[in-house]
Amino acid sequence: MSDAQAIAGGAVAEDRIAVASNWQLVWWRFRRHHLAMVCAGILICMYIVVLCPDFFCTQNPEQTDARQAFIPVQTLHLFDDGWNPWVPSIAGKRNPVTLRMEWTTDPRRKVHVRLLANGAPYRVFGLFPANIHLLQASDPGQRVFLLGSDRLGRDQWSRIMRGTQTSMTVGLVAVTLSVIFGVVLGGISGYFGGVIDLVIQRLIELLQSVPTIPIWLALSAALPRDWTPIQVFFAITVILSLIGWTTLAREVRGRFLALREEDFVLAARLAGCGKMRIILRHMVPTFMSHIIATSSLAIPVMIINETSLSFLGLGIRPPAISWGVLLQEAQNIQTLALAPWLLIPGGVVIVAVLAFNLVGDGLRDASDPYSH
Amino acid sequence: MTRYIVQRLLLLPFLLLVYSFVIFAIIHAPPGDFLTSYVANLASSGSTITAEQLNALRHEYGLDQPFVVQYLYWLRDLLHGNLGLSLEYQRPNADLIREQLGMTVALAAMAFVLTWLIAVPVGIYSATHQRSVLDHIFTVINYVGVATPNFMLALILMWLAFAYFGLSITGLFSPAYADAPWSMARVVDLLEHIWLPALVLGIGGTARLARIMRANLLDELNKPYVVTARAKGMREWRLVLRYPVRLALNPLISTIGWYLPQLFSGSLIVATVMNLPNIGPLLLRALVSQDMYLAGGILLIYSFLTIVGTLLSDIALAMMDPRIRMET
Amino acid sequence: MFKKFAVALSVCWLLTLAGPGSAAAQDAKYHEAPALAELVKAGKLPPVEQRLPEQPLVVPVVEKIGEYGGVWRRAFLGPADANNYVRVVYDGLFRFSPDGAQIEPKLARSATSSPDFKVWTIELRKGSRWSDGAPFTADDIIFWYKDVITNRDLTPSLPTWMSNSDGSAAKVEKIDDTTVRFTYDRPATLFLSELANQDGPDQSFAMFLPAHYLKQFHPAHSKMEDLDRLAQAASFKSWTQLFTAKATPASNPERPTMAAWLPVSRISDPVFTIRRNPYYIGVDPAGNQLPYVDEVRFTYFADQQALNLAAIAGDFDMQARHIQMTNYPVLKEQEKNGKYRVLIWPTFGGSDAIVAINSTYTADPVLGRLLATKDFRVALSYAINRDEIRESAFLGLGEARQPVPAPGHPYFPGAEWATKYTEFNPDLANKMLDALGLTKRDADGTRLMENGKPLMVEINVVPAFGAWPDVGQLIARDWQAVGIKAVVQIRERALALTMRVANQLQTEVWNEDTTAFPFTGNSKLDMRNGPVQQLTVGPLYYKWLTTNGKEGVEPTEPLKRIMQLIDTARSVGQDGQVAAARELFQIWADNVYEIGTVGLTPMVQGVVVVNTKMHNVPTTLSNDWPLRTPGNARTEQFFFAK
Repeated sequence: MSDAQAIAGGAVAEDRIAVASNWQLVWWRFRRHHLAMVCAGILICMYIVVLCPDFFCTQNPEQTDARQAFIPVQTLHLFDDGWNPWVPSIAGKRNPVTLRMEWTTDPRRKVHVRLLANGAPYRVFGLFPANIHLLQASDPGQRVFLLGSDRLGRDQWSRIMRGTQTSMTVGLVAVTLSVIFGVVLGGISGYFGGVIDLVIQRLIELLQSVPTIPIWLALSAALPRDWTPIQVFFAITVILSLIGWTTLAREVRGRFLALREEDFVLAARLAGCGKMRIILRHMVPTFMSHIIATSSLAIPVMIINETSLSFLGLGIRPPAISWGVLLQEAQNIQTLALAPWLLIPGGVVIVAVLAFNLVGDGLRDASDPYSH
Repeated sequence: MTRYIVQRLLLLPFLLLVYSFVIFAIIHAPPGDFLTSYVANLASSGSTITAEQLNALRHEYGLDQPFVVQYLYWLRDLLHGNLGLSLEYQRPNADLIREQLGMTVALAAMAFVLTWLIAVPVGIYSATHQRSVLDHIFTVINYVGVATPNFMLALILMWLAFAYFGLSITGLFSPAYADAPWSMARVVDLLEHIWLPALVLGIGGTARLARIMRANLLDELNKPYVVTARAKGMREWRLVLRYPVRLALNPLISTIGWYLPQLFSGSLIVATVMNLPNIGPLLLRALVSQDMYLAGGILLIYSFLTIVGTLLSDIALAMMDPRIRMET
Repeated sequence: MFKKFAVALSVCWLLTLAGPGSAAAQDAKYHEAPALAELVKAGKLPPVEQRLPEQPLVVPVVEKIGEYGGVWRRAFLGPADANNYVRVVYDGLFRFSPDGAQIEPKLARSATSSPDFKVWTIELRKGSRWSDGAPFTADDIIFWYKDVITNRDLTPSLPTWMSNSDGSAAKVEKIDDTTVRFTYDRPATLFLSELANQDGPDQSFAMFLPAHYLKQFHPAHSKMEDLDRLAQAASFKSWTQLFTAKATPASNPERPTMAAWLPVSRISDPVFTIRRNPYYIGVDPAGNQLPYVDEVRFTYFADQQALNLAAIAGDFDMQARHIQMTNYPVLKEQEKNGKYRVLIWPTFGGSDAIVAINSTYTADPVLGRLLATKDFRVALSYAINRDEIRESAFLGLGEARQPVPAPGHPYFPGAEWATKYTEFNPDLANKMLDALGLTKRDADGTRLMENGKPLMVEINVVPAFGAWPDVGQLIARDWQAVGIKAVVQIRERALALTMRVANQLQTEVWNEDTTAFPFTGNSKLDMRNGPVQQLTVGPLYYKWLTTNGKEGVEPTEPLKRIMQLIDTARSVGQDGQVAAARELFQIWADNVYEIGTVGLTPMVQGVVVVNTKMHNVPTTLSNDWPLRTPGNARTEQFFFAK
């Protein structure tokens, strides 16, 4: 190659590399974490459910039928002379001595199901009417219990779908609020310094010294009991986020204190940028990836907290459905002894939290330039 | 350094004052008061209380005063060291709390010891035998441990222990020994009951600690001084335990202060489910029945513990990490 | 230490000398527990003949004469659960029989009345003593009368059973050491039933108090400065609080009691223990002084689930309280492992889940008018599928019924009335609703009221018992099927009570458990008892009654008739009361102010776990609060077989 060509080729190569943004670098590194990728896939599936849970429900999650209580998990068989999914039909009889409802399956009689069939109508995002469901019983009079039924004969699979929507949203919203509080307050504190910094620091100390669970209990017990489930939902997210923002604020403040003296900030100031513009457009993006990694590690904590509050009867309450509510309804001897499949939401919580943790770890490793 | 410590210490009473007000406000927030819950309980068991009796009680307990007046009375009593009377138990709060404090501390200590005994060796093993089968198993268990809500574990484990092993582990003692004087048999009974709660309490902490230990140790093991020591012929075991482990433990030790209050408040839910004598269930009841002075007193104690714990670990961190020292 | 050993040794030697067949032992009229016998021999206790009254209470045994010994293990949920203890000891002058139909003497020997029921004379047992040995006499009742019940500081308002028609206190006088006379200015036909419940539940005062002990805490017999000092020392604000605390046996082990067991620790302790009372006035038919069981031990549980788990594991000897009915299958399955048997004591009449409908609801006048219309309520009743409720929430136990007494109870109005409107007939419900003019419906199928708004009813549920939220959901679904949109609101107790008193509830789910005692105290059927006591049948009726018609809503004719019947019953004899009660319940069932669903289930403390070694526990028992179940099973004759 001649010199000119080499230079040109080098320049082009430089251009190619120079164009890759921070986000692309992060993505490339993240891609290499196989476990984190798998978990990210799981999370994406869960968020698809969050967007449209009714599509995945096989029936109305609130539909009760006392005669179909505590039905165990029904195995889905796929073939019956070719592709024809079905579940066995079940009959229940109450044991005359122990009064336990005993269910026997009758594999000769089948309840056929269809994929992507029409069922009960619902609205996507509360706006667009639709009535396609992933799985439906062919005969609308029959009900399918993929994960069994609870003590009122409600289908657990459908309830878990709805619960996913609530719990994942609470986690996400609470963390988002925390991040907003943390970044804004930490940034102001770090950038302006002086009295503002002092006041905000003391506030952070105040909040950090709060014993979390007892104060949550007190705050939740203080929520007016006549609020609607939606209002309670929002109140809980705010309560959860009020405690979480302090650590992030501290870190942001530390970074700001360091970045304040950097050349590029000086350059921006000299160029005439306003303070807010400097903060938002120049300083914050430098550690955005760190914030995201930390947040994704905070979401599972929020989910567990929401579950704990619901468990104590202080968070989201029935008839609203969340994982915490489902677990709370399963936390009694009757369920443990007679219907252990009602603990499956606990498994879902574990999987979700696990996935978030692994993705968060992966993101943190990928976005930290010093991790190698 | 000393200026930092003195500054924090001076702030302590001020913080407590602010907390006391916030706590009192929160406890007062639910509609009604202790007597409303009391009357509701009576009514649902078919008993009655006339309006005059109710008013008389309300006046006696001071519940008919405005919020600020009630707060000031409480503050005045606190400053005299009097934690007030529990409306539900009709006994001094100080007695109630003292009775539960012993067991709370014992349980927390047990969980703490268990956590460290398990987490540190597991972390060391994982770091030194990276990517081995056991390491992967530990990693999975760690992650699951962090992900599981511990109250859920509590009832499930209690049921499993009963259904499959015939063990009835409700409470810290079997009814025969519950109020017996201390004896060898009683200690054995306690140990037979305490392992399950300690396990449930400690499981989350164990997982977290093991992960951090592993991460820290991995960082240390890559450092040049380890390579040097290895080159100089030190045996692997001595090498690992003498230097990197101690350095890896440092940040853990400095965060102990944060950990203890966590343990106290984190045991609250588990203690309720597993019927353990603990300040947690006492607080829960007090909050639900609006037994103000008891709830307020316990919350204040929690706050105090948290502040002190945070202070201790901040000091420890500051002593260790020169960057923080410079920034204050 | 050695001295005690020597004493014990000589006692044993003496006993062997005496021998089981010695004349002295055989001729003894009464026998006592071995531990007490030891104390007698050591001179620490008077012999049993001197401890028992001249005519002790002879308690019949359910199966056989029992053996002494054993510890009865129970569980409780904290100081708010003091009634757990009250029920076990049932320490009253009189008590209800196991079938709930009779009132039998306990601490008192008899009670006789004048023909017009205005004067009652109570005879105590001569020679009965408190647990510390002091004599139990009429003075203890007079002390209560003079210094407690008529003392405005301790008792701000006189209870109804002690008042004359003009509100003044009935006269109580001591005739002699064992006789007390009550004089009213109006007939007091329900006096005995009241006496059977004056055992001091819920921090109220029993009608007999240990005067010799409590006088030191009362300003009429002690200096006020001393009392103030004592109160301060215990963190109380006044002498009344101190007195109340000292007078409650469960809070004060030093307070002498007449019960079979006396507290040796407090109800605020983790283990609340009560131990044999050496001066208890009861013996079995063979002359053995009761109780058989040495000790009753209540263990504290913070959480009902843990309590139930312990019950399943067989940790309790006789426990029905806080056992959840839904755990019956597990309990039954674990009977062999846990070494216990499971009994069922159904509720004593009424209905275990009813929907009370507010006839004075004003926040929405159109809806309020509908709720006050009898035919509307009848339609609502026909729309409910009670069979499904029974299967789902009550394990298939019990029967569909309206809230009236149980069959077999003298006040039972007849099967026709007990099952009025309980047939599941949604067609008839639809027809009746159409006939009321609710024929238009909106797009969802909900009927429209006359002002065009959709007909929406709120069902308030307090999750006091596991079944109720489920019942609420099922009822909501049934009403929806006939075009009424029903919303279930789960609220906690205190809030529901506040809203009820403020006339804000439209309907609420609760149980109706006062049907066996419609005339005494706290009947839910008497509008004069106020919304705190009743359910939300009509909070504004109470206002009308207490303001003499100036505010509120006038009660309907049927409700007025019920109040009339209750008043007449208080002044006629037994037969008159039965007739009045029957008519009362016919009116109640016919007007469905409370729609009953399922009744006679073991929902309220009806599932009983009994250790296989414990005997004399009745297999069937009437189960109700006024009966202080298990108190009416005569707990002092329970015993452990070796």
